[in-house]
Amino acid sequence: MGMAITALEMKQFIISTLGLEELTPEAIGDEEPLFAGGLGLDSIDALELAIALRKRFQVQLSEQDSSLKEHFSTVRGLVEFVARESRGLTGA
Amino acid sequence: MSFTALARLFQGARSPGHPVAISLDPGGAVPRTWAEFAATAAWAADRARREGGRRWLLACPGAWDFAAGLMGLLQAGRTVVLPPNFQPGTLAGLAREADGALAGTLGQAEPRAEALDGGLEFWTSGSTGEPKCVPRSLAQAEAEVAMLERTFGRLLPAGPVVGTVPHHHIYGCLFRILWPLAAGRPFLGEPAGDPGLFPRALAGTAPVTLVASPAHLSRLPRLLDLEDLPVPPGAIFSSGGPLAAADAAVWRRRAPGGVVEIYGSTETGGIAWRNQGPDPASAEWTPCDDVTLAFEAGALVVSSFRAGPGLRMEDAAEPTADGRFRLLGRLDRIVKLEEKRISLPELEAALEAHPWVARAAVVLLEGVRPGLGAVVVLKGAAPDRDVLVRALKDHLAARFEPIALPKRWRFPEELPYDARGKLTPRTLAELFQAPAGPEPSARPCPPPGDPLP
Repeated sequence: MGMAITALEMKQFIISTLGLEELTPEAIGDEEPLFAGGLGLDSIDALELAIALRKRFQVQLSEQDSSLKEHFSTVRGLVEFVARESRGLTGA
Repeated sequence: MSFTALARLFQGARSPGHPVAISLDPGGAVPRTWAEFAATAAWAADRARREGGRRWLLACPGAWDFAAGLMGLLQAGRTVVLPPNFQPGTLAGLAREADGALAGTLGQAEPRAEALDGGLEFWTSGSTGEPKCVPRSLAQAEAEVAMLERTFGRLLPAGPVVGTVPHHHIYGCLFRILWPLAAGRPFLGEPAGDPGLFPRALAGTAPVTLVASPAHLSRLPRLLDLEDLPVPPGAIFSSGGPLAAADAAVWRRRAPGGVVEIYGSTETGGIAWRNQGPDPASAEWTPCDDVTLAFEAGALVVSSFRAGPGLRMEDAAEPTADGRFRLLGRLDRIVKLEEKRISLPELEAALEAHPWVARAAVVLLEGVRPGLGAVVVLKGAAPDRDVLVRALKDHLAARFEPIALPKRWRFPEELPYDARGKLTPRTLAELFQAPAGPEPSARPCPPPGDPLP
């Protein structure tokens, strides 16, 4: 089962998970820092998003993974994280 | 590791190789030594002396530079201004009023064996929205750290102190920085509440001290299976608001020491503590040993060296026979509807006693006809929304008059805590501005005034 997700889908996922109905996907840049700037998201939003990603894509946050912090900072990072973890799961 | 008064920390209390902090570098956890810490503090002290002035803003977002800057400014005898947040507007406002500021990453200089002097100013957002200054002398901070060591020192494991809460607020400053420095425990520089860091922060083989808030403790077990941790945390602290008994139980299953909750405020510092377990009496609070409490007109009044004489809290409380007390919720959470006094905490407790309900919060909603809104987190799969709302109303109607029954209902997956772990009327009320949403069903609530069956 493929679990790839596009940047647009990730933005829609972020908007629906965090209840940001006043934002459009176009308003979120692929490389924009999600939790330290313009979007006004806080550390609890980051946790909520991580929990929702785990539930939706069955991705595991590994204590071995020192790149997690970078992945969790932008839409592009999250897309790459989900793609990489899903590959691991499907063994492809 | 020996406990040392902060004032004398730099006078030979620590060896140069002593690990002050741990950094999570890409290659792994790296200890940072006392020699580096003392040199960084000396750089801050030199700069404060060179530039002069009494009040210095400390705006370092990293815990390592923050801790070293704090010690250095106190070496120079300065009053250290701690911001409520790191938003540019907040910092600019505080910097205008201060004589100098430290920000970003600090340099290093020749270490000095100097005693500390000076004081702290905690700035909080305050309930009115205007930033409010809470001054704390070094002696007051020392006394609180000594109380923490007396009361909880034997609980601290040898591993690092891992914090999910901000280091510039009083709870984080005391528990993540000042107490670990005095107790000789390394602190983790990175914020462990970051989902990208939390798994690594708890992955070490030495049991850590976890300094967290209910907002984090309620969510982290859904991010990471606690059973997968190599070792459970050796000690867990929580502050900022009451921890739900169910969340305390989840952590206790993995960490048998449970969660020590601290009740306090910026103005009072620590007031009391509890550690919720299976015994219902464990929900009661034990006063800190340097605090005197009085109960006036249902409110808790706190006197202590750090709070001063007779500071009235916004919390309703009642004493128990053995010198402890029960918190009954915020005084402003007793609302009046159509001349009837209604205790929102009482309604919440009643809702949480229903078998389907995990957590509940009730908020007064303004409008043409003010009424109550209930925000309920369910334990599992829910029946149809109509059936659910009707059942919960019936459950409440057994104890409460119809005026006290919530007319509007929301069923989110989690209560809307903010970043500081607070559940505010504003964030609760916001849930009712959006449509009811698809879960458990999209059908609207029955209109107000519908007779119950």
